[in-house]
Amino acid sequence: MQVGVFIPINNNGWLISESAPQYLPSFDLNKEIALRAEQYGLDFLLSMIKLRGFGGKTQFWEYGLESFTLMAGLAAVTEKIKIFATCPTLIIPPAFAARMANTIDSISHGRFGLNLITGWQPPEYTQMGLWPGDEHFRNRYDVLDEYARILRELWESGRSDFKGRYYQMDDCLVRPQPQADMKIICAGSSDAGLAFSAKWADYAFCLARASTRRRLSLPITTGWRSSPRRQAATSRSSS
Amino acid sequence: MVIAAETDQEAMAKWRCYNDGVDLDAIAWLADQGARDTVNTDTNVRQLAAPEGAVNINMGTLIGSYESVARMLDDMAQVPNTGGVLLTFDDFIEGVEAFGTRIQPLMKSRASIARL
Repeated sequence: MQVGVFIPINNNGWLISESAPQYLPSFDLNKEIALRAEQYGLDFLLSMIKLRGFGGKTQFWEYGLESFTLMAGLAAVTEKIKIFATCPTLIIPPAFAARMANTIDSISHGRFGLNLITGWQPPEYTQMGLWPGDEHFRNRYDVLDEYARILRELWESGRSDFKGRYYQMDDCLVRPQPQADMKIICAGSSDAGLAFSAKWADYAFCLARASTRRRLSLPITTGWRSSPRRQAATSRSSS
Repeated sequence: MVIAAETDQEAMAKWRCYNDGVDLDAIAWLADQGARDTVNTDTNVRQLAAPEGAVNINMGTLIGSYESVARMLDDMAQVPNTGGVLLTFDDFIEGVEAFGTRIQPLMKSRASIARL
């Protein structure tokens, strides 16, 4: 079993308590955690992205760093451990996310992957004018499906001409391509989220609860890895 | 989340202490936000805000001695299709250190690493 650390990119980690350790996030703190994790042979690091906290006496998660830039820094100071950033897809367009991922792939020499999130909390986005409206709750995985397709096309072939309902590429070029097979994580646990993970992701990130265990016993029959589209993209990039 | 100590009792005392200090205002805000999505009632956000374990957002929590936590992680490794586990800690520096020196060496599911 692989072991990773969900590093504390926001204040106070995951304990919403006045009697738990109180701390702000910093690169130095996360670097120390990353180096020790690597020293003990742990397999991966993941940071979330959180743009608005919960308030309260502890101002929980009201202080947070940005995931790509934090992980780029950690990629530069580590050598073996795998590195995953969380991509807020409402904020970063897919072709730009692909290029950011390729950059950290270069820094890390192939140790990087992406956790894709649709976003669910309006105040994270309304504060900067980027909440698409509550329609998002209905179509968020339709949008993410197109997003993931563009990422996979750009990583596999360096080019996308995908014309979707939500995103339109026009001979979009993103090169150089990553040196390693880029991994995608998705943490969706709704039916739509799990269906997305089955189709596009390498890992489904779940809460460790009994209900999760039952849901994940469902068979996965379709996926990017075995699809004709992937094989076509692969053959394009090698020709 | 791993909350580990020399003994089960010490670890449980830490967990009780964190629960005693729970920030109810912050949790009330999360519950309110999670309920905004009235389309999907099966989201992980609704699980996060459930009242019984809200102090750490209802994540699976392994509380106990280093031996107990190692055994619980080995149990998790037995769940079919489990590729890995993503850990958080109450104190991250102490926690990763204790995982590397005290917990991982006891884990059957990490035997290949423990020998390094």
